[in-house]
Amino acid sequence: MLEAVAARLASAAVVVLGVCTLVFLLIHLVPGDPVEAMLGEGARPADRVALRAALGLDRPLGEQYVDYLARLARFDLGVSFQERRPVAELLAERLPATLELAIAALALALVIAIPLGVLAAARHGGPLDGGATGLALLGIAIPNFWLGPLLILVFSLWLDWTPVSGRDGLASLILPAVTLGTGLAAVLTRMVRASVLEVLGEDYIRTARAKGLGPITVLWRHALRNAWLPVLTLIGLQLGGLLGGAVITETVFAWPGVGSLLIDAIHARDYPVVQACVLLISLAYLSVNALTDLVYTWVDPRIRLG
Amino acid sequence: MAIGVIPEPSPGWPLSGISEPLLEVCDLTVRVVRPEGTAAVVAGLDFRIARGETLALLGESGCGKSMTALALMRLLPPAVVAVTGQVRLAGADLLRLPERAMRRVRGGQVAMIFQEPQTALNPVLTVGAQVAEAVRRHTGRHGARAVRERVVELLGEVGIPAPRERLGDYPHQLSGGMKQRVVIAMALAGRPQLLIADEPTTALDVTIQAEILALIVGLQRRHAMALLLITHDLGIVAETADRLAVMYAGRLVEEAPCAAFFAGPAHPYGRRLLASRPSLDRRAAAPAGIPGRVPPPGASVVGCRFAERCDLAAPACRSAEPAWHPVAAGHRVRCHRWAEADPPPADAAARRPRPAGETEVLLRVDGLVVHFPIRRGLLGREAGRVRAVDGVSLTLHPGRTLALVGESGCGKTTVGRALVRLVAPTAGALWYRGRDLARLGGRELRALRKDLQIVFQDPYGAMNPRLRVGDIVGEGLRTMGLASGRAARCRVAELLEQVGLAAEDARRWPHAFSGGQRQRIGIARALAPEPRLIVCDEPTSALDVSVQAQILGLLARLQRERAIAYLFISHDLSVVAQMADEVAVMYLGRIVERGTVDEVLDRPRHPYTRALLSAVPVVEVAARRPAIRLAGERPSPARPPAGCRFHPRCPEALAVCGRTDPPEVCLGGRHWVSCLRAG
Repeated sequence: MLEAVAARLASAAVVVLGVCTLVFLLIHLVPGDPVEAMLGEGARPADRVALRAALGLDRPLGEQYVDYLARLARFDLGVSFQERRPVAELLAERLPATLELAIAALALALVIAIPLGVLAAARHGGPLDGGATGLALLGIAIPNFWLGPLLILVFSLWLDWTPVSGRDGLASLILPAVTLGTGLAAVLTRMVRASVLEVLGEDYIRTARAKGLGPITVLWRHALRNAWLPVLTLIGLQLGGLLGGAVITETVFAWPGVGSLLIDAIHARDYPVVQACVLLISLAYLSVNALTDLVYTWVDPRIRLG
Repeated sequence: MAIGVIPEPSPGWPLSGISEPLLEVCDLTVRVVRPEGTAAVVAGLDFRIARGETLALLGESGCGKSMTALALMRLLPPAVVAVTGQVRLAGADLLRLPERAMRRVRGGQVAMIFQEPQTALNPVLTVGAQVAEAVRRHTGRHGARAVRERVVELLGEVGIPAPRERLGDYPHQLSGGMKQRVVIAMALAGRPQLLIADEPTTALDVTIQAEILALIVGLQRRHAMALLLITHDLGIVAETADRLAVMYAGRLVEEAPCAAFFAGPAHPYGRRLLASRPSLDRRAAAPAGIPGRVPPPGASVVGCRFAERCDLAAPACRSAEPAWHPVAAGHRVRCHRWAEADPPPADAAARRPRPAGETEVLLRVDGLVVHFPIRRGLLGREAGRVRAVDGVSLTLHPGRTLALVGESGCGKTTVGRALVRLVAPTAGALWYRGRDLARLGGRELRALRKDLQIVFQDPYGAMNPRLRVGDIVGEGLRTMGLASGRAARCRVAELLEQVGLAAEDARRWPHAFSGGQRQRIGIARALAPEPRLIVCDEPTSALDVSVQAQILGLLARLQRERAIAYLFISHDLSVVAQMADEVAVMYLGRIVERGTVDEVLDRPRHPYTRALLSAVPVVEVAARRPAIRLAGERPSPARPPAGCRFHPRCPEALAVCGRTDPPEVCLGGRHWVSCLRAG
């Protein structure tokens, strides 16, 4: 067990180093000269030389890499060209908004998906199952860039219940969370339904019924405990994605999170910010997945005690 | 199809001797609802079980026997299955009980044991919790302590050592036999009057099977339970049941006291089934098998369902379904022609003459070792080794069969795969035509592969479902450059006919074939490059007895015609007795005893061989051997015991056995044994 945890953390560390390296190389992999791209064609040669020196691009690659890693270790992510402020500060401002939206959306998704998926599986083939499956299909098919504006149109402009955009109190969280949450809920519902259905076909469910247990005990005690395991993996993947900022939803609602920061930075060719955002998104994904694996290891006795 | 037939009143019925039926089943019919209409997979069953009695429900796969058990328990999904008829348990009709009352019956008055202990327990709940559920549900005990005490008592009763320490174990930490004991403990929790055991030992090794059967029978006697034992194994029926009911294609065709049935089955199906069964002591004649196949479940048949395969069938059999005919007291049969005598067997001299004396050596295995590393941690360092095969020496002769016998995990399959180089030997030599196969690689090895072929155990998993039969059989011919184009197609057609299929079958897909037919395809594929050795890895263990006999007959005929050597890997000593010239018994990576089939089976010297032989269920009462119980469980091949590997379980072990690895000793003839007590 301990060995498995250590192995998982070690493999995560290796991937983190790989991600850092790729992010470092990002600026060098961009086609053309990054300095020219940032300053535009009409820049004076003296400015170019100055920027090149400021970015350290005039030094050998290996030296730049070591320097980059050393700065990362101190949480020094560089300075934004556009804002003239440390990138770490910018991220720290944006992160709470992203976290808030992520948690709200995921909570909403779980509240919808788990009961709906379980009921659909328990009433397999019935009208409830058909309804749930249809809703899930609809949820997956509707893109967020369409659902978001639609919700704004109905609830903000017509009914005037919620703010149109921005982040200002709980009311402003509702529409982005619903937009993001329904899509997640749709995928999750299908997963929960499929997983519960599969488990209900297992031999040990028949054993439980042969013991004389009622349908609710069989479902809760015997089926769900097993059906959880694959669902957990999906939740981890979804949370990892959310923590990196939901770019489209944040843009639609002008939500001041990491996703919209990234979009702005790309438009402004603000390389240090782009690098930092990509790094953050990858790390969020990685750590949530590592965590999911560890939880999985702990939840499944076959792995825990194997 | 005639379904829902009212049970005909017949003279001599109800059975004499049954005073008070506990369970009375009348006209039980199970219809499966399919898009194309409903099909009756169980048709008009009627039988009774008295208190404390054991009734065996015997039938081959797909005959509807498991469906019957699930229908009695009302565990079939009502959306897809319609059950009609009456199931009276102590007077109450179970099929008409409200679901809530039925739940008290399930696990209460009627409990059930299932076939596959590996999947019958919930993997994420402890065994203690799973037994406790049944205790709480049916005994009214609710205090944590009282429940726990009862669980410990139950686990102890089913023979789980140190039951208190097992409460917190998860199923994966127990062996298959132990899991089945837990399932039995769960079934006992509600003090059932009727225990339904659906193939309770089919998934277990033969020595474990013997223990579990003894346990079930012991518990049945102690608690005066009635037992409905569902099985395909005539030996198990003979050893445990009072009466049996034979099922064929959804119908009961014969019901009889066991003694009367084994003295002379009335139905031709029963007679053929009994004749198909290989026996430890019937080495002279090859069982005949039953031609054809069972009609698929729910197929509509006019007349007798067995008529297609019956050599007594008359025109009347194909037009009218036979009613029950009384044979004797308590013995009835559903056959128009049960009184007719059997025609003489067509293939009486099917047994090949045993080649006598020494013949040339085809392949000599010398000190074969196959270890699999256990890798752990980030860098995959070797944390240990599974010693699957640990020093095995064998000799194979052309035209003869060497059987390699042992229980699951003994390494017999690995030996077979190493022989055809599907796994690389860790050490040792495989001498074939003056060359060591273990040292060959690349082109040289590929050139010799045509001589060495293998037939796998699972006829379903061993075939690519996306290839046509012709491509499966002909692939070897093409890749080895033995034939191509038209020549290859002709050869495939010829091969299919030789194994009893039609040339046109080459164009069909594997899913269109039954298990037995698929095994024929597998044999045709192995035969294609005209090999000199075929490794047959449990080729019939997934098949029904009647089909098994056909496949064994086919293998024997092919050997006679082509002088192929077989390495016949099996756990079934009865099959080995029929097929083998020589036998090698394997335990935990080593050969413990070897010799001619008569030497090993008639004069077994190693205690393990004797225990294996004593565990085989036998039909003939006179041939039964006193049971030898083995202590404990098979150790892991990753950590074999010191000294003799069998000593921790050996009933005859001496102190010295734990220290000294026994050398192989010749007992005369070709009979060798590795046991210190044999010296």
